[in-house]
Amino acid sequence: MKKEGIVLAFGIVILSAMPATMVSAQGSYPTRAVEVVSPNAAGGGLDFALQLFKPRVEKVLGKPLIINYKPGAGGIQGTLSAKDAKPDGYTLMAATVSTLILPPLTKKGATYSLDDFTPVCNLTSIPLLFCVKEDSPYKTMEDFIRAAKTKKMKYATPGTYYNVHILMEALSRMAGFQAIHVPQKGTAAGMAAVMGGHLDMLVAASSGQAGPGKLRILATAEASRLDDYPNVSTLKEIGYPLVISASDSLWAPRGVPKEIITVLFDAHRKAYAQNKEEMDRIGKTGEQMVSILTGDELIKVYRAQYDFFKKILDEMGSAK
Amino acid sequence: MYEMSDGLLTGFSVALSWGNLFYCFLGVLTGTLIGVLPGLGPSATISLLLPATFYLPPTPAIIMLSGVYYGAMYGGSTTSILVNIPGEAASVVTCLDGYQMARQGRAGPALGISALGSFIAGTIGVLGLMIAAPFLARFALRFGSPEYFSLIFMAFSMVIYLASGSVIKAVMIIVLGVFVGSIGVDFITGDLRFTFGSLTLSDGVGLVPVVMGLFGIGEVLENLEEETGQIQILRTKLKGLLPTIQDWKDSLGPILRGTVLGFSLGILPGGGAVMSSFASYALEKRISKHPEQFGKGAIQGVAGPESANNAGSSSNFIPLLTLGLPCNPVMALLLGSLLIHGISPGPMLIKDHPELFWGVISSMYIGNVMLVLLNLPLIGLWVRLLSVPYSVLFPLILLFCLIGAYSLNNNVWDIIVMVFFGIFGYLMRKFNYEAAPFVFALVLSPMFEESLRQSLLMSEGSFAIFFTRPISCVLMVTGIVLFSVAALPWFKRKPFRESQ
Repeated sequence: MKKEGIVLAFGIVILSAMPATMVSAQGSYPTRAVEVVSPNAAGGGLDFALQLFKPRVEKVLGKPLIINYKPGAGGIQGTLSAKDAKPDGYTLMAATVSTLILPPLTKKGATYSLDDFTPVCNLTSIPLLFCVKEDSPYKTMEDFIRAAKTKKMKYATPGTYYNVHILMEALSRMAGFQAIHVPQKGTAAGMAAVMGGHLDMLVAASSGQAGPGKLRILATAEASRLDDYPNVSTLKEIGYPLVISASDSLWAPRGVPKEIITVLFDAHRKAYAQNKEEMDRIGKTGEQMVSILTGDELIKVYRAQYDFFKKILDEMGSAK
Repeated sequence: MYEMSDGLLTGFSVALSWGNLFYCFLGVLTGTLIGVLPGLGPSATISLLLPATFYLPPTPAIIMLSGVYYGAMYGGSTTSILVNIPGEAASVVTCLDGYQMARQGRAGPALGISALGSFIAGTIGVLGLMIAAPFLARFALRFGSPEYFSLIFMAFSMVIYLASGSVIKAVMIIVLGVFVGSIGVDFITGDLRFTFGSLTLSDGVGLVPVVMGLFGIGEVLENLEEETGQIQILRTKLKGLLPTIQDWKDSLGPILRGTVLGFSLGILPGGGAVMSSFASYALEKRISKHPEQFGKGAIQGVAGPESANNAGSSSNFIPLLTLGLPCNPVMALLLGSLLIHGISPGPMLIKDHPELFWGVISSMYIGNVMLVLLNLPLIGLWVRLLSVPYSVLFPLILLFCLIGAYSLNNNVWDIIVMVFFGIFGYLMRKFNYEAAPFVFALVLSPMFEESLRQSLLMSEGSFAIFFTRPISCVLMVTGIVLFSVAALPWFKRKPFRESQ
């Protein structure tokens, strides 16, 4: 009796596993859950973007997305594990500029490059902001730069060699001032240091800095002014053509069939098209803008940023 | 004042709805359970639960997640007391006297005083949160890098009180802790230190695997030396399940002092809560008439740090709710959860979302009551665990440690670090070195270095910055005085005599 039960159970397992092995991968992808390796821990900005898309993309794909958090070494651990994954479309990787582009430029052990991955889709874009204390005497970015030429300003970033640190270095070279970089452990710590008046400026990706009783934004590095802050100028319009944003994006290991990439991209585009208003609203509160870019557009943006960061880092003399 | 009583009324009417009571209970229950399991901490659990809360309205979501946080702080002492495994840095000090109490058959009073002490501290903490949150948060912003440095300097000057044996051995082990704390990325220059090409080491040596190894695994290894079949955690018969009147008399002072200390350090937006349990232990030992009893089962050594720990877990919410600044990874997760619900916490939160602000605070009070009701009956059960034969218990302890270490980052290296420090901890025991000063140095030295170098960047290299800023100056001078007081008897008693 018992034996029969076991045989029966085996039979069911084998039968239910059959379609997955028999049907060709491209034809009906996905046939099972898709794993997304996140090189950052749960709860951060990248996770925000992933969670924003996850339930809506699952509905379109008809299969669950499983986010597998592999944080460590500033994103290198997770990125390396995704690089070595089987290129069958069932392991994808979430990335930001800080996990995919900067580590190979600044850290030993980051043995990967953009060429190791196939771009799937850009998810969100996050503006980089220059903020001062709410009651700071500097009302505009020009004020600040003018003052910085006579007095050494101290600025906070979430860490050394972060995109915002390199951006500020580029700006100071372009505008001809010297400022002291005081790296902090994360954006929140930098906010506290500027709100408390201990440092003059915070340069960081947007994550709740602005608002009554918090910080005042002087400038962004966007191409055009932000909808929410129409009074905040861009670096470009005050004469410093630095246009750069942070972004959260989705990649696959190199070698994933094109058809699968198309299925995944279409799922994301469709999920956004179906829930545009809701996703825009939630995205805004997390200070991220949903920005669907095709793989080709995505890799173009990342390559441009790679070249920019490499150039400035070389000037800064920061050989890894 | 009117605004507050009005707010409280709103708060309790929100928190006492059946739905919110349910989520609060779910949160504290989950928190207690994961607090008991070594390794699995509140941040791992909250990140797992986070996606689920996207489908809830914001208030119950935050009520539940906060419940997990302070519930875990509550439950974290259980394994420290029973089997000497601290689940996180905060419960390391609870091991020192709590586990000794358990061996003397007083596990019940130890668990009881940590539950009731936590309740008192939690309640006072919530009250403090209601009355003074916005004001305190503004004050806490005055803490910049120089102030943090002086604060940590002050804490370091008290570290000697953590050791109960030889002072010279304690100093040696502190230096070793500072060294291990310096492994990883130099966060100012981005250079790697002592990593030998290992990616895992570039994040530094994880604290949780280290404490689980030093305390839990080390203890198991040492116990295995005894003849099998004879090993028992219990050295004597069980004595009572609840604290006696004498225990209460001994504990009331430590509980109240621990509460004040934990609450004050918990407000700092840059994070100061890790210091509070260590500081409370050192303080109690310093002012005790019988410092020699510390480390041998003094109830004050459990009551103070446990209260500090819990008061801190209430005041941790102040910088988040009033300034939008998360002071530790758990608060950062809560911030993430608020943002996805379209709420950006900051000075306007009380006005814009009173139901959320007051509801969450009131639920914390209710949650504290639930925790006491939940934990007191469990004490009998936990204590009976000690009579399980050690040959059955120790493989289980090892198993839970292994699972716990792996669950931190899904990384095998955390297990290797734990095993390494387990063997290291065993050797330390054999040669009479103590683990607590090591952990203290490991926790604080990275913060010490960070704030020192940030301060010197700010002052362009001048050490005067620590004395020209008033708060920093007061802390610095206090630290120097404390250090002199601690060092003086030691110099008088020369040559360096080992006191044990």
